[in-house]
Amino acid sequence: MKQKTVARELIEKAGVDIDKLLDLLVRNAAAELTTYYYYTILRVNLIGLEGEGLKQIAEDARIEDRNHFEALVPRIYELGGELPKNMVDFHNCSACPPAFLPPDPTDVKAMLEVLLKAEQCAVRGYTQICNMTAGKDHRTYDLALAILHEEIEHEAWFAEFLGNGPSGHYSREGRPNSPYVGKFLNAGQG
Amino acid sequence: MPAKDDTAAVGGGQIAAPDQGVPVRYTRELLARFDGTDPRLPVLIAYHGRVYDVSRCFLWRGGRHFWHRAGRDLTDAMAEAPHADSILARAVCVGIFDPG
Repeated sequence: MKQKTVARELIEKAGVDIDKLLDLLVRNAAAELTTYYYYTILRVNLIGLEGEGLKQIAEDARIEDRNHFEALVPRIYELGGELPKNMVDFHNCSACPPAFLPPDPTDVKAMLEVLLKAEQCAVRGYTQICNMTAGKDHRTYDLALAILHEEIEHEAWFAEFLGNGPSGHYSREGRPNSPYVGKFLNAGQG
Repeated sequence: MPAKDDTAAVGGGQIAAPDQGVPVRYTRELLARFDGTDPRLPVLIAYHGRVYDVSRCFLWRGGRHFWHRAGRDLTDAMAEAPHADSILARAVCVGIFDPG
């Protein structure tokens, strides 16, 4: 049997329900990977005069969501959790509904609404993890907060396109992806 | 049809007409049958005295929503949820919860 780490022991002692936390981390990791998949389809279909204008931010959000998955997985295992062995189970336990291509893929507003809802779901999920871990599990909190920063920016990008007023956020515009989560991506790899 | 009830319900408060023999007033015991374990039955939850059909919600697949189970009164659980109760506007209110 795997020995409990001191890090896990201290988090439990601080009052975090680790089973609930792991449930959230796995479900949000599933949401990230499935979103990466569904955003691939959305991005492919963002064509035409309106669609092409959205393609780059959809791509940036897609790549960053994949990065979030990559950053979450080590923490899940550190805490003694694991990913479901079956990809179907993983998909179906996602913390967010699938970001399906709208019935009319030329309807850019419908596309934006799918993208926006996915990001808003993610914002809720990481806020919940931050609330659960603040002051108790510093490492998970730091990770969830970094992801939250990026999800909030994604939400702002798409909301702005839908005419919800100025967001005050810039898109990546060719700058590196995952400015907040990047520090977790190469950590621990020697 | 259900008894007249002036309690404001989430999602406009309209209670759907009884469908396929599904009763409108749910006791705790009756509600527990709609926990998602019987695929022939809708997945139901209670919230603030109303019963909602969440069968079509992806996040209630199999009668489970994170660590919550369907077929129960989840009024107290909403406080820790990362969403407002307005989310229930997406579900159909199918009856009254009568815990007895």
